[in-house]
Parts: sequence; structure tokens; C-alpha cells
Amino acid sequence: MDTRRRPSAPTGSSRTVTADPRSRRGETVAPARSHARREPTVTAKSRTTSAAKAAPSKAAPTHRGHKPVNRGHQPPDRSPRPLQKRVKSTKRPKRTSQPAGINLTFRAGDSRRRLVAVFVISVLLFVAVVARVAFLQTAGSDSLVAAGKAQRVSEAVLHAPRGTIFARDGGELVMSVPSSTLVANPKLVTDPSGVAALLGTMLQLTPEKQQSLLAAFTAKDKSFVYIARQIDDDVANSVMALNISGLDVLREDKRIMPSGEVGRSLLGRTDIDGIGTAGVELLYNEQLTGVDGERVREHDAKGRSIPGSGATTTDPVPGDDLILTVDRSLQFQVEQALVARVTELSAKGGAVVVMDTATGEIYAVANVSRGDDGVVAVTSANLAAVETFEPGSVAKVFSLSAVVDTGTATADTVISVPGRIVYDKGTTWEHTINDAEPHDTQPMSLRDIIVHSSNIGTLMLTDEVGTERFGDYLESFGFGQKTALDFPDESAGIYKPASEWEGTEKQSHSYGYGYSVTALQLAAAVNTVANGGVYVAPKLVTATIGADGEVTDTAASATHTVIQPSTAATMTDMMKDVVCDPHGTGKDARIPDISVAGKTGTAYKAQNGSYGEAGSRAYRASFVGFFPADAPKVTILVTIDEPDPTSNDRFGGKAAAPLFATIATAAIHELQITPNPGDTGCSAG
Amino acid sequence: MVKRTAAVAHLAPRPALVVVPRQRRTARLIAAGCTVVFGLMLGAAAFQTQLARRQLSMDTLDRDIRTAHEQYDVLRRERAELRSPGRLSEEAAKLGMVPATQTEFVQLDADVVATVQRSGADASGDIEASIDEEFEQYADVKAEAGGAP
Repeated sequence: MDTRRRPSAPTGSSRTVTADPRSRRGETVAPARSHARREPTVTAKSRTTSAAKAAPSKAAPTHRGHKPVNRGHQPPDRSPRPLQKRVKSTKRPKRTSQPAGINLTFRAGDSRRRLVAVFVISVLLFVAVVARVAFLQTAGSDSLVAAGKAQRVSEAVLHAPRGTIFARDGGELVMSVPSSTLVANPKLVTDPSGVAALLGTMLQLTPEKQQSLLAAFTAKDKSFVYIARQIDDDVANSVMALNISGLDVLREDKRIMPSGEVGRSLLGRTDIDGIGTAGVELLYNEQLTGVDGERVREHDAKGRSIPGSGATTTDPVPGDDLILTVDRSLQFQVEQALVARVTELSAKGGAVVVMDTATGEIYAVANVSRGDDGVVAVTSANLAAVETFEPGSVAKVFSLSAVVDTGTATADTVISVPGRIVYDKGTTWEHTINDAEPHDTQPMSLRDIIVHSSNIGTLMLTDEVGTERFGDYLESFGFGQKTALDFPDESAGIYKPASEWEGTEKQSHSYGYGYSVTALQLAAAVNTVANGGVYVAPKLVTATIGADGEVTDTAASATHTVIQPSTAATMTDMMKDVVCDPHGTGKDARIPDISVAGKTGTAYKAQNGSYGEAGSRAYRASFVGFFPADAPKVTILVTIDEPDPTSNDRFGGKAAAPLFATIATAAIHELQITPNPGDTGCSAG
Repeated sequence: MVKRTAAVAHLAPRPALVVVPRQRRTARLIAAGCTVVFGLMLGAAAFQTQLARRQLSMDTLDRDIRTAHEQYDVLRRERAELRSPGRLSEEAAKLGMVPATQTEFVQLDADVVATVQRSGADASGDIEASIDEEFEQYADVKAEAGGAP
């Protein structure tokens, strides 16, 4: 643009104006400095507004010193006037420091340089932006992609349902049901103290829990805390209805026992995350626990799936269901009966094991104990598997089985049995063994020995078998080793190999002292006699239901022969007399119309290294039996811990045998057991 | 529009000027293109709408399945609680019933047994069969929806 054109009125801030009087006449005014070529700048707008109004629109460029060509009809001095007025109206002149009256030219700057500078800066900025974009699209994209993904992609863990534990009759003993879990994002909680107090009241939280919530809400350093897990839906809904900022509710499976506390000690429990911590829940935790799945999906702000985005779902594999051998109704009745009996006897506790004679399947295992408050209740510990005790006279079944099996004696073999025996007389190791029923030396058959539970007769005959051989029998009956259940914390009992027996141990083992057993071991050992001399390992799970719904029966219990069938039959016959003989110790175990074989046991409990003296002793009263005796179907062990020592019911035949009869009656009903043809119970004898 | 030609020095016989008919092909092509593009856009929109609708339907079905699954578990729980020995014992006690303490077996006359069998009644009282059936039903449900989220 030609800058020699006459200056025109400023229309913007970058206009050059002049106060030279000549400009009023339309003359071109020389620049004050030597930058005439760059000033004044006249825009197209200025031409149309001022100068253009004064001059023809196509005014030819003028040269320095030349008057502008006036192609119009208006006098040349008329056009600048409006300009002059405008100049007066602006405040631009203040920018000059030149004195008034001097030819002033206001220079707004070098537009070309500015344009170049702006262009360069723009280009640089543009390049910077492009470079940044390129960086973010390539090397620096990972974090942004991740951030974007995190906003719209959710990866939800699909928890595999834990398997249900069924009873053999189809009833659910333990199952998982959906429940509500209240959670909070402390960063979104606006009133920490108020919310913590409100939750404490509504959810009946402990002061400690309430305090920890308050601390979390105040610190705001976490974005997730549990408020209350696995609560009722109604409670959770009532809290959520308050619309408290930062609170949310999740769905979570809760482990429940819909049948109440039935089988609690056997079933065990899980922690709040559904991991088995005791009992069957722990024993079969791996099978019960499924494999979690996952769902990855893209969703919008409202949580709705973004169409076409595609969701990836890995279905969870539910855990296997277990079908236990336990009969729910029988388990309940056994527990109720045991609680009643222990209460009645003022005992410390007790345990009952009911098992199938042929298969070893456990129908019921009950454990009760007296709490600190004096109330007898079902325990959470499976005492039948973890607690050991000396079996006492019940062990005569094994001793005399060894005697018969080795041919040392028959049922009708008669020996002379003294009422007491003194060992190591006159020495510091002197000790005396008495029979429970005082008597003089008298002839006793093997049958008499077991019917009257003679300690001396038993040890005399067992001595004939030999210590090592007798020890082998005890081990074969399963003592000194855990049962096949391998129950959590199950005890193997306290048993030393026969080669390590010392002193009185060589005699005491025959009548049930010097080694300790669990109730499960003892029941399985006596069951060997009931099962024709074949030991069958106890079994707790009869089948599993896999994720595909397939029902798979578990393997049959392991078995091994301990005594000959003829020996088992002889022992069964003698054990029937324990119940049916008018002088038998187990006559209170009789059941009408069904024959019962069994053995009582009353053991002194070791206390502080001794068995105590008369009047200060503690007892363990037991009875083990099976029925129908001729073709046994059920074996039952009852053991009562510390019945009232002053009561006549402290003995196995009085404390435990009646409970056996009660439980056997229940088993007959629940398991639909009928007498074998010709079996009329004890009346036959 | 009429073209004007410059005068030439040597005038040749001037050809007869005719009006060239307007080419409508381009317009038609543009119109067709626009129609196709519009159609494609409409189709894409319809497709997306259909996708959204089906996705919504799938989400709803997922929720329904989850709800049904939860309801199934709740009903199982209620049934188990109703059949629990503790509750049955309480209900029986309310009706004046007491636990059996003795068993008495009655010898049935053979004629009675024969009469019952002739009547077609199931005298076996096969509880095992009904239990097996119950487990099978549960297994069927588990096979179908066991892993459903």
C-alpha cells in the first residue's frame, strides 16, 4: 500500500493522524521522521469513512509534496474537516511528547514486522500444538488411553457362588444367599461426624467401628471403606433412602445355615469373605470355592453399556455342592438328646457319633459342652474329632477280639479271675488293679469277663496274646492315626507302639488306659466288629454336584480286615449279652424288638498326672453299640465327659447307655430300620 | 451464457451457433450421491439405534437373570428354613406332639399287605427316590444357570 497517500482519519488504534494544518487543506504532510514509506497506514475502511468521502474512491496514489488529485467536485479543503474533528475527539495525541504546534505523526508501529512476528509466533504455536498432539497420539498416549479407558471401561469381578452343603435327605445345611453390603467413599462424605453417628445408630455399630468410620471419613485418604457387610436388604435400603453423599450398597453373598445350628460343629464356618475356616467348610474349601469370572464392558456415565462396544464376560465357575452323609433330622435329634442328657447329668460335655455300619457314612456327629454361664449347648468345635480321652472298658472289645482272633481263648473259655492284682509288691512301683465289681477269685468265662467288664480277666487273657501282637491289633483297629476324614485339627490320639510300652502300660492297654483316642476313632474301631471284622473308614461326603450339574458319587471308604468274621461274630454275640444279660453293664441300651450289641466304658480322667482318689475323681462314661446285632446297620458311640461324680449315673452303663437307646430309637425312625426276621431283641434270650 | 468470440482477421465462414443444452448429468449425479449419502447416514443411524436398543434389552435381561437367580436362592433359603428340624419340632410341639421315645414294630398280616399292593398304592414309601429326584432338579437348574452372574 502506498503510504504517500494523504493521511486519513483514524478508524482504529493503528491509525496515523496529523495535527499539521496542511492536512486540513488536504495536503500531504511529510512524515516527522524518515519513515515516510511506512506511514501513515490507511485501511480500506478508513478510505471509505473519511478520506474516501472527501476524495474519489479510486484516488490515485500521490507523491510526496504533490497535492492530492481532487477528482471530485468538492473543494479540496472540505474533506479533512471531519477528520480534524475526529482527531480532536481522540485521546491519541497524549501519546506524543512533542510540543504542541510541531508537526506530529503518531506511529502505531511497523505492521509488517508485527505481522511477521505474529505469523511466526502463530506458526510456532501451531507447530507446538501439532507436536504436542503428535506426542499425545504416539509416545505419550498410554496414560491418556488408560485414563479414558478407566472412565468408560469397568472390569467387574463376577464372584463364583460357593457350593451348597446338603444333608443326605436333600435339606440345605449351609448355603449362600445374596445380601447387601454398605460401603462408603470417604472423599465424598461431607459431614463425617454426622454420618458416622447416624450409621452407628442405624446399624447398631460398636463404638470402635463407629470411631474407625469417623477417622476414615475425616482423613479422606481412602476412596473405599466397608461400613457394614452382609446385612439385611431392608436395613441397607433404609440407609440408602437417606441419600447420604458417598454411601453405596453392593451385593455380596452371605453364608447362612437355614437349618439353624444343626451340625454346627461338623460344618464349621467361613470368614466374611466366604473362605472356610473350620469344619467341613475348611476341609472342602477348595471344592466349595468356585473360580471367579470377570466382565469387562464399556459404559456411559449412567452405567449403561455402550452399544456396539462389546463386553467380554468370563463366566464364573460355581463351586461344587457337597452332599453329606449326615441326616439332618437325625443330627438335630441327636444334638437335642445329648444336650438334654448332659444337662441332666450335670456333666461337662459329651459327644455322639452315629455311623452306617457297612459304609462308614456318618449319619450324625454331635458335640455339646457346658459354657462358662453353665448352659449346655452345641459347640462349634468338633470334639469328636479333636478331643482325646482314655477309652476305659470299651477297649476290652479290642483286647478280647485279639484274644479270640489269635485263638488264645474262646467265648466259653473259663479262667480263674481274682478280684485284685498287685504288681511289683513291696517296691516303689507297686500298684494294684481292681475289678469294678468287687469279687473274690472266681472262675469266669470270656463271656463273663466282657459282660461284667472285668479288668483283671481281660488283662490276664490279653497277656497271653503278647504285647507286640496286641499292639498290632490296636493299630489295625485304627488307633494312633487320624481317620480318613482328616478333619481339620483332627487328633490321631495318643498312642505309643507296643515296643515302647513300659511298666503298667503293658497291662493297662488291655482295659483301656495308657492311650487316648478320639470318639471318631473309637466308633470306627467298634464298628469293625459290627462289620464282620472289616475296618471301614468313616466317610462324610456321599456325592458332589459339579458346576455342570453332574452328580458324582464319592469313592467308597477304604477298608481293611482286622479280625476274622468268626471272631467278629463271637464278639458280637458276647456284646449282645452286655446289653441283654440281666447283670450286663449295658442293659439300659436295650431297644424293644431289636437286638443291640455294645460295650460300656467308665474311665477315670487323668488330672494333674494322676487319676485321683475316691471322691475326687472325674469320669468319662461311654457306650458303644450297634444294631440290629445280627446284621448291624448303625453303630453309635455315646461319651459323656465328667458326669456328676457323686451320682450313680456316672458310669457308662447309666450315663451313656440310656442315651444310646434314645438315639437308636430316633435312628430307627429316620433311617427306616426294621428288625431282621426272627430278631425279637433281648426278649429272645 | 453466450460466448463471445474475438474478431479474427480472416473471417471464415461462421458456423451456425446453436444453444448447447445444459448438462443435467452432474446435477443428477450430485443428487444421486446426496441421496446415497443420506440413505447411508440414515441406515447408520438406524443401525446404531437398533444396536442401542438391543444393548438396552441385553442389559435388562442381564438384570432380570440376576434378579431371578437371587430370587431362586431366597426361595431355596425359605424352603430350607421351613423344612428345618428345629422349626418342625417347634410346630409339632405347638400341636401337642412329643418326640417318640420308643419303637414298636407291628407284624402286618400278609393279607393286609396283599390288599394294599392290589390297590396300587405305593407301600414302599421310597423316600430315597424322592430325594434323588430333588437333587436331580437342583442339578438341572445349576447346569443351566449355575454360573450366571
